Amino acid sequence: MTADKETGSERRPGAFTRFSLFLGRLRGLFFPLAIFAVLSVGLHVGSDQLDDHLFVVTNALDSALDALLGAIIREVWSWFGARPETIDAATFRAADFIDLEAKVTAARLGALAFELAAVFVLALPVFFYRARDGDLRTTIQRFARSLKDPTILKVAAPLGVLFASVAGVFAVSREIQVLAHSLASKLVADPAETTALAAIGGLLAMAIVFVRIALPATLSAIGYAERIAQNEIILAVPASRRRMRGLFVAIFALPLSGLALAATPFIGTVRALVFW
Amino acid sequence: MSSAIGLREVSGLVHEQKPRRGLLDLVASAMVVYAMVSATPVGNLIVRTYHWVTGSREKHRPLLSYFETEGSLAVAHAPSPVPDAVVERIVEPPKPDAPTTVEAKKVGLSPNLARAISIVLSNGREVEGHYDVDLPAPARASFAAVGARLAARAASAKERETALLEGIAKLGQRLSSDEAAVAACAVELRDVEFALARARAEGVENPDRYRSFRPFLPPEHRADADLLVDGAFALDIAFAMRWPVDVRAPISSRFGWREHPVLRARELHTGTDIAVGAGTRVHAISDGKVLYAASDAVNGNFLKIDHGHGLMSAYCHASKLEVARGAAVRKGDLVALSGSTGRSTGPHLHLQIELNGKPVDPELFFRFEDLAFGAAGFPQQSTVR
Repeated sequence: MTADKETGSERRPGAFTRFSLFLGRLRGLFFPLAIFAVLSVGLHVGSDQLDDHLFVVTNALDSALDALLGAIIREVWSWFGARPETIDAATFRAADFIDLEAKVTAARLGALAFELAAVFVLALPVFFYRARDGDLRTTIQRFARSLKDPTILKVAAPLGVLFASVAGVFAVSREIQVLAHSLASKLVADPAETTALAAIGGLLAMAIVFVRIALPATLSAIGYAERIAQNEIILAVPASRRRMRGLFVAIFALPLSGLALAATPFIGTVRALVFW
Repeated sequence: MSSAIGLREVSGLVHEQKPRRGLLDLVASAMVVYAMVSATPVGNLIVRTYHWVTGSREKHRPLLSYFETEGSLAVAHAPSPVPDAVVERIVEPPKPDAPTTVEAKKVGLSPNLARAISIVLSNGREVEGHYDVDLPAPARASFAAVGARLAARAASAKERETALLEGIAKLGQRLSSDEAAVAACAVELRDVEFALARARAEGVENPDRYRSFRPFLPPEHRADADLLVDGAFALDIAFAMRWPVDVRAPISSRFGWREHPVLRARELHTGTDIAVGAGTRVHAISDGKVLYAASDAVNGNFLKIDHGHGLMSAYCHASKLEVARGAAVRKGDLVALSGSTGRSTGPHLHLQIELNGKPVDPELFFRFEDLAFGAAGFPQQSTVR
């Protein structure tokens, strides 16, 4: 019911409002999944970057392994008085042990494992977030207070969620713009109109997902980290252990979300959406 | 007085006593879940789990393929856009009097590209000197959109090939990008125009290149476009490559099965060995980016250059590398000095060309009488074969 300001009487809300209020009651069912999804999308942007860095590492490791195996083989075969050609042949075969495909696969597997680990430590806990953790004023006040007794989680979780969700917002906007164009081109004949509809779709997606999901997710992360810390104080967890809470978030999720944020084309995306 | 609605109210961040509306949240949630399912391995795992639980048999994208989106590392696992049988049948770049070359010149299309796209769309089949091309449905729609002639499926190979080249040329003029024109044979023109405009508006580097506008193509058509564009342009680049050293240098070992001079075992020789003295200048065979400049016990000092579209070249056993990893090189640039490092019995250059991670015979792509290394002082003559 809404109050009529002039008469003071209450009006029954329209069907649309009632439907929206009904969905609001179901928010707890789908909203955590939405935060999980936006974080997953953002973290994948980071792991796509990590893949290339890991490839450089696998190459370096392979070179080091080649050198080590070569030295061992030469040393061992020389004890038995093997001919230089025999030693060379054995060394060459050992150097072929890890080929390019194996290195690329290893780098991608590493990136995938890192991404899954980051999702596990950063995105899965969103199912334990509370709706009231998203209260802006009290959360910020609580965050400022809580930093007087800092834990790794209190810093790493909000930062990781903020970075990953912002990167996720841009990635989602891009996907929605392409989807909107695809749908619009089936309904509207004029390419200029489909393009405009797609741009509007992308912009709306960016704005709605940022305001309705990314921002509340970050504030919820602050609240979540604070609640964990409070619970551990109540349970008399030793301060040294309490402060280390969130170490895995700092190891896995924070670097990946940082990479994701660094790879996000902020200006380019906005320019493409606004100055079409 | 009603107060203005601020960010806190819109985002639902106020400490509420009243029931909260959820329509906008549901819309936002649907969008992010769609993005997660279509673009992340985590989404893939969730969909797999759903299908596993419901017992439905669905084909799923491999998890590692989510790391193949952009960048040169993609080629190691990408399916080859050019069938093996086609690669084996390519003997040399288009001759000036070949029917495809003549038709290409008439419509103002590069003969190399004309031959490449004809090969890919015909799977290499030739009928009376013309490629027996089969036009995909999106290509027919795109051609119709630019007013290009459409040859009936029953028309002769010559008519169909001519119609294809005319259509590609018209699309190229409309889109100002050959790669976009070829992509419009796998994806409808309006989708390609959107993707191209989106990439240009975003200000990405080289927006007219396929890899730049690919992320804005409809996801369901990207795989088809990959096969067509990468297939055609890998061949196009390969046809225009230059020999890395003086063409008079003899070839000491050809691509194919051979007995290894050191290992004394039968193995596939994955490149062409060119007998050149230590310290000979080695040049890039085409434009590209250095993927690695490294050293190992087999290849010695070696370079691998990514030329795009799944085409790479490697230069092994060098005494010195002149470029570093990540460097952009132009065709003919000095990239290394030859030597005998790694698994080698004497100074030579091992030139390897890979198409989608698979070595192909480098000699297939070179016609030596056309090589013009004017700036490097190399003579234009054929003495190798």
